[in-house]
Amino acid sequence: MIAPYLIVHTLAPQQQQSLALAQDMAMALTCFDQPVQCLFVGDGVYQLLREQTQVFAKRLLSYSLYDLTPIFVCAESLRSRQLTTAQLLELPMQVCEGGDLQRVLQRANSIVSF
Amino acid sequence: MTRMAILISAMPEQQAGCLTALRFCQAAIAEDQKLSSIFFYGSAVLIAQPIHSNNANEPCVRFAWQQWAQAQQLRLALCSAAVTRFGITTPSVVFNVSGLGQWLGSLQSADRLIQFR
Repeated sequence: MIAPYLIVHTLAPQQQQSLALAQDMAMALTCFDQPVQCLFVGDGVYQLLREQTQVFAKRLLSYSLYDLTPIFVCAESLRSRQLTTAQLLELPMQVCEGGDLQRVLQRANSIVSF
Repeated sequence: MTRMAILISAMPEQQAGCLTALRFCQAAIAEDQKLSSIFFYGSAVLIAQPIHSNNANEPCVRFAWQQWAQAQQLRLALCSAAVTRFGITTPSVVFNVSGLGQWLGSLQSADRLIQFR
């Protein structure tokens, strides 16, 4: 398996520009047949909330069509923000604890964070 | 020799990433490394804004980038979507407006991708 590009979402959705940049890059990479994985960490987990801005939520929901799922979500980031997966968008996701997170990062060919 | 692709997503003069990226690129060239592409993404395209500095002593990262790229005869790639968004009309000759797709295509020839934000 070719090592994937890893797009790391680290900022809250209020930083709409960074969210759009990350989504554009993830989708563009898949158009070049590059394997891509997405990781949501820190305030980036807020991007997955159901009450997210419509346009960005719709794009996130289309990730399955682009082979960008399952997305990876940092468990510790959810816990420290008192969030549960029930509050998040219905997307195939893998909630990762420390060790799994490390493996996701190590597997990546290149890491780009926004 | 490593071929490096540089991605810059930091806003010039407000985030340290732009200046750090310049220092990195200068060091890489000095060490005979190859920079396969330098791509300014998102608000980093403001690097191409015209320079109207009143104070000649004030360090200006935009000026430093342009001067260096000219001296090295390098073209700095600007993301076309961001250029349109920020209304940058006449970037100087050191800049090359290109699409994200075009840049991603050029990544194939790079050994390493390095991001500054």
